[in-house]
Amino acid sequence: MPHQSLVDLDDAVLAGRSSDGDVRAFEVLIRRYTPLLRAYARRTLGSTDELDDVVQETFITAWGRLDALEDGAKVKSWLMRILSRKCIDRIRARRDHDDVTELEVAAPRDDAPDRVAEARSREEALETALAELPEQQRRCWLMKEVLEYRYEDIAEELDLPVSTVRGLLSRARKNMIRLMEAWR
Amino acid sequence: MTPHDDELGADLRPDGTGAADASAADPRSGTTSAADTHPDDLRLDALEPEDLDGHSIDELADYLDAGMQPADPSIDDSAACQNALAAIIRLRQSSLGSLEAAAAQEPPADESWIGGVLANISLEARAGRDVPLRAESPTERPVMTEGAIRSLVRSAGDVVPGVVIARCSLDGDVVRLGAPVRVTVELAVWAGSPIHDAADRVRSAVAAVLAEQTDLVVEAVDVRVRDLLPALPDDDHEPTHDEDGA
Amino acid sequence: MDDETAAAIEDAVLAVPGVADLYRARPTVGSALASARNLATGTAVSRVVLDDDVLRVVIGTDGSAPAPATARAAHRAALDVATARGVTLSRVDVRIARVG
Repeated sequence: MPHQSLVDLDDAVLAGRSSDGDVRAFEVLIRRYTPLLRAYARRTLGSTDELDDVVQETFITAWGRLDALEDGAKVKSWLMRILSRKCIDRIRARRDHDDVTELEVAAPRDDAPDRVAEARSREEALETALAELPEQQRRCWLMKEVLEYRYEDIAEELDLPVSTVRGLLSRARKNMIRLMEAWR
Repeated sequence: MTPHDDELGADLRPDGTGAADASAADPRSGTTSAADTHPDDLRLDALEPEDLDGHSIDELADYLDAGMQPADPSIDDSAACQNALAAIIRLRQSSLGSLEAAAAQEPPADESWIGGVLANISLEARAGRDVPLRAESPTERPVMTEGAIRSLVRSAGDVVPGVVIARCSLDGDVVRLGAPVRVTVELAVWAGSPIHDAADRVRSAVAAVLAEQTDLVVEAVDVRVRDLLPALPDDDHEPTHDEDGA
Repeated sequence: MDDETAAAIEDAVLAVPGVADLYRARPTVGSALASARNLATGTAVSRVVLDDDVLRVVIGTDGSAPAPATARAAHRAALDVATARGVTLSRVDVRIARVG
């Protein structure tokens, strides 16, 4: 049967068709959002072999949960939330496996402002600043600012007290503001 | 420092050194000095409550989250708070943009990797109810899944130029042979397409395909235009036929 | 029903004009166990399922013929093979999971 090309359709239409069982529409969403999901996973998990798997699992899970997506236009952030949860699961699994508590030397490096100042665009500056944040601060920042989770949701995802999440975010905000002011 | 502080992480100071007395400035650090800054530049040396007229940076972020309602004059009338709020807003505006920019650096999805996803998604997950077909002998009990019926509806509707089916659903007691069923179709229409004409054509095409390929008793086919899509640059909304047949 | 009969039924169904695919039918406990055994020994897992004397078959059609007719033909093909091999069926339940 001849098929109409779906590549130019917007997210809401593609999500609706996917929910109705249209695999070709879902495939367009896969192609459209794989790079973004990989970028988010990379910032949460670090550059690792696991990126392919965790993004693949995200789409497989998403297909089964499309009923739960109320507004098809929000499929992008919905996919990122599913991914975020899977990334956190993997981080926890790593932690359990290595039996090491996560106590990093948790401060941006001394030359962080210089690195940010070198960025050629605001986006690159922000990316650099984000990379300079300690891991837990970065995760909290991503979950709050990109995924728009509430404090309680972040606490639940990361298995931390809400007060700790607030503290992490407080540090992250101050660090990000100061680092970004280095780029003007 | 307490372990709690370790976990939270130290603050970065504007001159790049670790947490210390906020008022100490190191002239040898090579950062922006007073002479380099324009008078209108934001001065965000310190983001503690004593610098923000008694407000913490987190209160300001929460205030933004709440849409700055109810209005708080102690924030609204504070220059320091307004500066900090502006910085937070700028940061927020850039955050998703920076992730999108980073996404542009990632390679596109690999074909065999996509195949791996598709191999693992099950038709069953979106199959819906079993819709009976007419049996002509006692050894038959044929059914078609709702999912398969929806794909029939889509293939019929998609052929009409200028429109694409966004959603379709069956209402009624579909699992009972002979029960009247209402088919609802939501369309996405490209701007400039004749909507009324297209809707009629979709309605006929859907009715025809259901009559041919199913034994549904279709009471009505409701066609609604839900999405208006911007016109494509080449303005060609004829269905372009993929040859893949996948 | 032995594996050979199942395979013969599958081949017959796939040979019906208009049948594009054969999918795994919903298992019974018994068929699930048999599948597990087959997976372990590396033999092919049967896609058709026998539930008492009812055979379950799940197909995809290619739209070249009206789906009800294709379902009927698939049921006929399965029934004929089963009968020829001494398997008594009271019914063949054909489920069309995909069209075109």
